[in-house]
Order: sequence, then C-alpha cells, then structure tokens
Amino acid sequence: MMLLMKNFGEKLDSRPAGREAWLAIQPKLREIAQEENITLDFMDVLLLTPSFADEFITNLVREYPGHVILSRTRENITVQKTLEFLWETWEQKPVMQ
Amino acid sequence: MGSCSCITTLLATLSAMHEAIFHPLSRQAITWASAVKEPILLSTKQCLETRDVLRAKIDSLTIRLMRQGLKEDRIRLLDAVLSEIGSNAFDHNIGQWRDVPGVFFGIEETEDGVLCVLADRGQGLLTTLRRVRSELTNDAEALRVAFTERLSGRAPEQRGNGLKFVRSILLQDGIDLWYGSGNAAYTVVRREENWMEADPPILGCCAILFLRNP
Repeated sequence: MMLLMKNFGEKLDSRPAGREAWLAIQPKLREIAQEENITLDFMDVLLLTPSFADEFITNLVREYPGHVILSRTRENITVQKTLEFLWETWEQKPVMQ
Repeated sequence: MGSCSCITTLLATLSAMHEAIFHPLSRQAITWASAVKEPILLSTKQCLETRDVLRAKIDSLTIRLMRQGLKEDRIRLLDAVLSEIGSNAFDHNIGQWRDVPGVFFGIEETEDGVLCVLADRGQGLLTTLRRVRSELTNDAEALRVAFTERLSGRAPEQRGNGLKFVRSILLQDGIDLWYGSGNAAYTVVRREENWMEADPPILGCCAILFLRNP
C-alpha cells in the first residue's frame, strides 16, 4: 500500500494533525494483507516535524514492524532531519529510501 | 591576517545575536513573558490564541523569505524550529495558561538576518516536566532535561522529542537561539551552546531565534 503523505497536508507539523492523520488511515490499514508493505511517499511535503511524525510514523512503525518503507525522504531537509532524528528511537527500523 | 578576519567575523556574529536579544521586539517578548501580573493586552497581531493562527503567520514568513531569495533549506529548518517551539507552547499549556492564552509571536527583519520571538505565559518547563520527573528541583535542571533528554511532559506519551530536535538543528545548521524558562536560559550562538541565568525570570517560556544572513 502506498500513502502519499502530501495528501495529509504539505506541512506536517503538529501532534493534533498527526493524530488526526493516524485515525484517518485506520480503515485503510485494516484492509491490507498480513505481509503487505506500507510505503510512505514524502514527495512534495514541505515540512515534517517530530510532533507529527511521533503521532503517525512512530505508531505505524510500532504496529507494522518490518513492513514500513519510507520513500523520497531526502527531497526536503525537514523530512530528512526529522526521520534521521527519530530513527534512533525506533526499535524496528523501517526501510528508508 | 586570517585569524584577525576570523575574530572580526566571530565578534560580528556574537554582536548580531546580542543585538537580537536586546532588540526592542525581544525585550517586549521578555517583558510580556516575565510580567507577574497579567500584562497589558497586546494586539491580536502579536498575541496568537490558536496554533492555526501561528501556523498562518509562520507560512507567511516563509513565503516572504523565499521571495527574498534565501536558501530554501534554511527557511524550512527555521519553519521546523518555530513549529516545534510553538507546538510545545500549545501542547503543554492548553487549558492551563496563567492568564493570557496563546503565544506572543513577532518577526523583525534586520540588516543581519531575521529575528523571530515566540513566548508564552504557560506553566514553564519546570512545572511541566515535574509531572513526569518529580526529582527536578530547579529551572536550570528542567531546561537541561528538556533540551538534552527524551522525556515527555505529557505522560504516558513517553516522547518529548521537540526541543531535542530543535537543539540538533541549531547545532548542525547554525540558527541562533536564546531560550528562557523560569530563571534559566539556554543559548546557541554559532553552534556553541551555553546554559545561564535568565533575568528577569520567564514565567512560561520565551524563545528568541535569529537566522543570520549568510
């Protein structure tokens, strides 16, 4: 399954927004097959901060260990820095592209 | 000659941050955040009650800086730092403001760079962090924990990455900061950090950011 992160907003910057996005994708997540990967594509995202990422990506990484792929993470400096920063805190490391 | 030029550059940089801290806008924010009684009402342009209004102000700043031709990466990083500091103010103080809800936010473009101030009249770091770390005894300890340890003041979230992230950006990417809470302050100037006293004490938190011109 591919999730275009820009669909949640160009600027992903707060806990409430991250929590809202997490709740919004629950129906989609219930539909995926057990071994299916979930790819988050960061194309055209202008801002990502740990506040949003903690509520959304950290939850995803924790609940779907070994099945999360983070794609186009080096096109925006804040996406890159936020994901590198949180990487240390994740027990199960996602694939980062 | 080389070292002389280096010292001149360093002095100019330190002077620019000094000017940022003593800029009328910064003094206004510090006075507002340190007033014991409810301060004089600021205009709605400066006092932003909700995070959405703060987001709109930061967006408007980033668009303006992009038009001026500043490097996009630096603008995005400034946006991230302002967002995290602003988010902290709302996340930790919602429903618990001392008197004035929201944040004081101001921007001033100077000859040397862009000055941004963001302050709140919330609970401050010590009160917030004591909820999850009861052994904290003073503002200096709380400030150090906030910027260096992963600890959330919103247990059981167990996160609290915001100010650590801010610190990592400041140290890697050269945005200058003065941050005060209670009677403690933390500064990063040209990637050099220092811990000091804040006088007057800041009741909530106050951040003065300075994005130097290249």
